[in-house]
Amino acid sequence: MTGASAPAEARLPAAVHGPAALGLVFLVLPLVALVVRAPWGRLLPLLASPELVDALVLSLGTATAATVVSTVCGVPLALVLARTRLPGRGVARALVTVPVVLPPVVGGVALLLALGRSGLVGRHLDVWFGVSIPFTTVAVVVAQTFVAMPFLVLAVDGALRGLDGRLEEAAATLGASRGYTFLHVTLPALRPSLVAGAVLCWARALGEFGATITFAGNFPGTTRTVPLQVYLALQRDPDAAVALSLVLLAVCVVVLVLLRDRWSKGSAL
Amino acid sequence: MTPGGLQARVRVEKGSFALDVDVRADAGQVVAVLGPNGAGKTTLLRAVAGLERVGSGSVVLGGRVLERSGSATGEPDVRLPAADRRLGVVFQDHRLFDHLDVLGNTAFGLRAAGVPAARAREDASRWLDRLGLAGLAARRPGELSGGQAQRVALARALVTGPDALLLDEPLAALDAETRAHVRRDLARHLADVRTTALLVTHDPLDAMILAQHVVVLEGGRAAQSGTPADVAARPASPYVASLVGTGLFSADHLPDRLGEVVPGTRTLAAVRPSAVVLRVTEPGEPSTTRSSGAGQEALVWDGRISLLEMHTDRVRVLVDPLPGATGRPSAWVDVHPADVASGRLHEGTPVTLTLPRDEIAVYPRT
Repeated sequence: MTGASAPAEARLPAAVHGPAALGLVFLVLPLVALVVRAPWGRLLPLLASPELVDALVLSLGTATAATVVSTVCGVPLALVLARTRLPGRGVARALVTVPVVLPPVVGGVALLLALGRSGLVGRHLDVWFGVSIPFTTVAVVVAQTFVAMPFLVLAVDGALRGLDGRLEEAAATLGASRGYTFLHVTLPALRPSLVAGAVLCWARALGEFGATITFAGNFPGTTRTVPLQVYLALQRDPDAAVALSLVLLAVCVVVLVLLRDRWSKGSAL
Repeated sequence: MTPGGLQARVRVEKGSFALDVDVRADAGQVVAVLGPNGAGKTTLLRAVAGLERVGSGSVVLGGRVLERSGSATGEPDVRLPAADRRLGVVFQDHRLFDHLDVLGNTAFGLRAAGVPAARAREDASRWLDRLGLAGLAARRPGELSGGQAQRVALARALVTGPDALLLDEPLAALDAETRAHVRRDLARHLADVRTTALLVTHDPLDAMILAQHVVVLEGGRAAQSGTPADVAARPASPYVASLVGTGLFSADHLPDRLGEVVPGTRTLAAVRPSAVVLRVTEPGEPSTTRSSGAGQEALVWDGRISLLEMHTDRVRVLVDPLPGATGRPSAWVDVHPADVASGRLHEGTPVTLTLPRDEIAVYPRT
């Protein structure tokens, strides 16, 4: 495969440069402020406080769990969306994207109505199994999965549709069974998109706030994730909020660096 | 290679397009399916490979029934999945697996069949050697040139020892120079492995060099079939003639008796453009069109250039007969580019054509 040739530099009117610079500054300025005003001298002691450590551990654990759940369910979902001719696929694909644009708080309310103690399904969980999800760590994972899984599904679905079955056809002509082809052709070909989708999913889960506070509440140690902790700290100890924010910013930068290659190729989402 | 002939009778309907064709390749024979884009060549190949649903027909390879549906004698339908057909396929876009190196790609079919990794790699290496690709074993497909990728795709298809090879425009995606080299190598390897092969191409040169038998596909049907030399010398339709670069005209109206043609049958005459001699008619020169009778050495007639077509090494000129040259055909003539560059030849130039009688192939229209 030859690389895509660089497009010829467009001839732009001079007037676009002003607004373009303004837009860039607007996007970058808050991040610069965060870095400049960070309490660098007290950073380590601040982050070492048990409250913050609890929040960090909880966030990393739940975001990872949400990513695992999203992968286990999301990859098969993407396969069905991209590779089958079941009726209603288009509608299903549209529904998958809803959580991406839905205000997270609304997602939290919806989750309560579905899985809350008197919710559509939650009622039965409570009666039959004595299980109640809301306001537990499980609820955090559920909220994060609801918001983040679409990113993974869309990334993998897009990649699958790009693959177009051509490599699988080649594998079949070489005598490979469906299972062998899936494991040794489809999955490896999907890997870059799968990794990109999983990283995006993880980052989105890590930053989840609205759905979490609505559906899981704000209990230290069980449901108070880093974003919730940041929000609380801002009222009592702004320096701690800034320190935590820096941690989240650092995570985002790392994610961006990991994904840079994919974005520069113009694929993924 | 297991010898065994391939017989395919394939009928596929896709919207308004219908493919209905019979192709057979004897054991060890390379058969080319030649035709323009949209003639149904790739559909035919995919149907044989089991990648396309066949409306009705049958595909039999070395006695094994790969596909049978709509049998007139009521035999049960058969549709072997592509993976069970033991056919090697080389695709136009090579379809190498990007996540495997060349050796991994070549060993893929063996690994899929359960051959242990070490032995699969050994066998694959041997094939890479045989095809002169040993130096590329550790490369990724992204690091190969188009010609190399296509050679690797051939190696990958051959490693599993398929009963027949299907080649789908294997040279079409290559640039002109690479194409010549890969074509030569492909010819050598096909002769070397002696496998039955079906080659789909839109390039007559591929068919001429690689195949022993040609089927010309036009609009989903076989327009003509025969040896490459046959098809080139006696094209059955204007399309086939233009494909093989031969001038073709109806010989019915030629006033001359040409060749041994049974009276009353409709006849065609084929002429190689390089066989016609063109001379610019001097102003005031009397008409040279002669109603040459039997025994005359050559046909001579006057015409006017109506079209010039630049090729790389020559210029192909279409000459329409002058109104006085009754019964004389329009003819393609090859001329030297220098004659055009000098300004002597251009559209409308009056010319005199001379065509030696023994350069005309006359045969009945089928």
